[in-house]
Amino acid sequence: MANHSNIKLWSIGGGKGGVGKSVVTIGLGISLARLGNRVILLDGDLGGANLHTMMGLRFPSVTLEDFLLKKVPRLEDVVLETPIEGISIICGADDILGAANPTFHQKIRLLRELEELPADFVLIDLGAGTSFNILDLFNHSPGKIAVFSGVSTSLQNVYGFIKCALFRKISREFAKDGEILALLYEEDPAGEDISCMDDLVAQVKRVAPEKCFRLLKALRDFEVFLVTNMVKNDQDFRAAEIVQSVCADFLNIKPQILGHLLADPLVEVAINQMVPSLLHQRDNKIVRGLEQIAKRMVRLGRHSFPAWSPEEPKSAKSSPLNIFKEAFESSS
Amino acid sequence: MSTSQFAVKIGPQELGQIFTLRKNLDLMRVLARFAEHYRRLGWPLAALEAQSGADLDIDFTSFNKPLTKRLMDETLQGREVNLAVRLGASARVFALKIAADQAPLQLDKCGPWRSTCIAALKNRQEQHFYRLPEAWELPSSAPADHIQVLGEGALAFVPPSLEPDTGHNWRWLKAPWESPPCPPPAGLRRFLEKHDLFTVTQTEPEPRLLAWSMLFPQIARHKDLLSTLLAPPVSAARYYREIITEALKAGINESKMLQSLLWHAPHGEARRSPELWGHLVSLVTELTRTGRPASFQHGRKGLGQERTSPKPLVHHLERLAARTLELERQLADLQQAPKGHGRGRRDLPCWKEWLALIQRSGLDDKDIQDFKRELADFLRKNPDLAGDEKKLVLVRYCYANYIKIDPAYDGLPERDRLAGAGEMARTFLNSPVLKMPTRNNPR
Repeated sequence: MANHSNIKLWSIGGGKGGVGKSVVTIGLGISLARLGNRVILLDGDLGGANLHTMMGLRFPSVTLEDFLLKKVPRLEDVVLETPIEGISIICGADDILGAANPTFHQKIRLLRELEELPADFVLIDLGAGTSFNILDLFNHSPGKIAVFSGVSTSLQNVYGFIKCALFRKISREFAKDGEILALLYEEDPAGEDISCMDDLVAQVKRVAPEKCFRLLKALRDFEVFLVTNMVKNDQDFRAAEIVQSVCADFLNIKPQILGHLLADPLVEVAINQMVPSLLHQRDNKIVRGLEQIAKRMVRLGRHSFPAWSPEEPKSAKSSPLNIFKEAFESSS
Repeated sequence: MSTSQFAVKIGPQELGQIFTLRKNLDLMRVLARFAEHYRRLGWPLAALEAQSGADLDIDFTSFNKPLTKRLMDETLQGREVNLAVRLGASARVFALKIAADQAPLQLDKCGPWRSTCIAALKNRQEQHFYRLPEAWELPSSAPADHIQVLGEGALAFVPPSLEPDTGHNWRWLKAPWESPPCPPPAGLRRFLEKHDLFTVTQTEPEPRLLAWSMLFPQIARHKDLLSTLLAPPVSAARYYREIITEALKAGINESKMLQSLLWHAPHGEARRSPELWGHLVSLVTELTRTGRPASFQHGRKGLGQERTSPKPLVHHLERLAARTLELERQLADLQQAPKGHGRGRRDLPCWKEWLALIQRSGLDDKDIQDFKRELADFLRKNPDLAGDEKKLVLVRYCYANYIKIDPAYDGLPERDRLAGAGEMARTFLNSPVLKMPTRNNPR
């Protein structure tokens, strides 16, 4: 099993807009930078980029658009410094037609260069929703953070997001296997409903036992971290356990709780004023939560974190980029 | 498969689990708050799994871990938690569980039974909680349709718990920390005795009540007591205090008589307020047991704070009453209309109300006209009463609640009955406890 001694690439998603993905991204970036790390933030909301706005950069000189359109040769060339020491940013492209749907080659190029960025941590702020672009960016990142709040609808959305991401991962694992895909997305031909992942595993075991190992491995390798935002009371604080419970019962996965952030009106002020430095204040309760999460991320980076099995042949076919390539070839 | 077929659905079971767990987290927080209330009352609690009824073994007396956290731990394991109180000697509380739209028919026959502390379900089930008297041993049973007695050792769900059979939550109509459980009312005692449901291990006073028709003849000769009963109260506390004072002065000191007086007091609230009734019963019980004047403290809202001896006050009030009587008579002389003038030319005041009073089967037009004539004559002879609407209301009240039911007036002409009502009203009006507005002292 391959070990990644540092988890560099982290995606922050969650499905629903307004749960605080961007604030969490910036906040974690600041906290990681204050721990001595070099951090690059990437605005992965390809159709609605606003991370730079919140960082106080109103009119960035270069954006991701320039990279996607090959106006610059490398992704590193669109990294901009920010007023905050230790943090750089790649601003999203929100002003070109079709930026929300980059081509396959554009995405492959992006994913390859992400891993080459000169930083200790790259935090990708994903957009809202569950488009393939978002899910693929999420699944590609070794560190997957799902942000949500304690309200029922947010729990529903984050669970839906996790489920979509998992199914997307499995569908990519079995991209050319119509039999498994049929079980995954359709009813069992025998007429039985597959209501949970255990049922799917049982059916795969029945129809194609040699593929069961791959399925179980995909489930085992799918590690999601939960961050509860805007916590106002005990119920919100415990809400992440609800997500854990439902994921365990229906998806056969156990997300880990990374931390929680208390509701703080200062956040709204910081966003409106475009002054993230407000989040610097040490006596700020949200900063304490961010620091705790950042420390856990650093600790996680030092432990082994399986991305794929080393026993699998390291052929071109099995590398992440080529799996991605196959995915887009099959879906286009 | 095409892209459009890669649809991921969230099934109803998944959604249901998310929403149920989230809802239950909120409920556990509320449950913990209620549990704290019950704990302060000294009620022994049990946490039960809502569907199976299994005891979850949560120690409510332990403070090692916050109760909210312990309850949330249970609910996140998929268990719905209910709160129940263990009734009986340990809580000094028992309960009556009834179908609210059917049980009262059976219970009302026995007399007052409602509690001061009631929980209800949406489907019209109620639980009435009562203080368990020291001497009682009361097992659980179901003595009649739609009625269940929850006694020693029984577990009663308390709000905001979910009733498993119906899926509704119990809620307090009168919460115990605002309206504590009262002793079992007389009607409930009769019901329980009738079904041999409890045993009394020691003697206690018997709180039966006399019907008004049996009580009135015994107090009719005590004018002061009657006046006190009839006088519109300045306050509930004073009203009941004066009734008891006058009754004691009249030599009425037997528990049953006193309680009956308080129950039937025309201006009293006891019949509508089980809490007040419970307190009055306790007062009388203590009074008859100790022989000392009753203390009128009633929880946070005392019935009255005054503890001075009534004698000097009574003398003062009697002097005032005499003066008032003199002034009233002078006023009546001034107001008396000359013969031939007066109400004969005008409609009788509140005639419709009078007509309603005398309605009976067999009443014909001649009877009505005779009564009308007598009434007009009465009003002419009593201008002091006729000239004041409030006094006429009192006359009508005396006629309806005393004259009509008094056997002594049966068969007498309406002239005499009206005269009796007028005399009774005048007696009340001259009562020292009454402050009626007069021309010289309008209010």
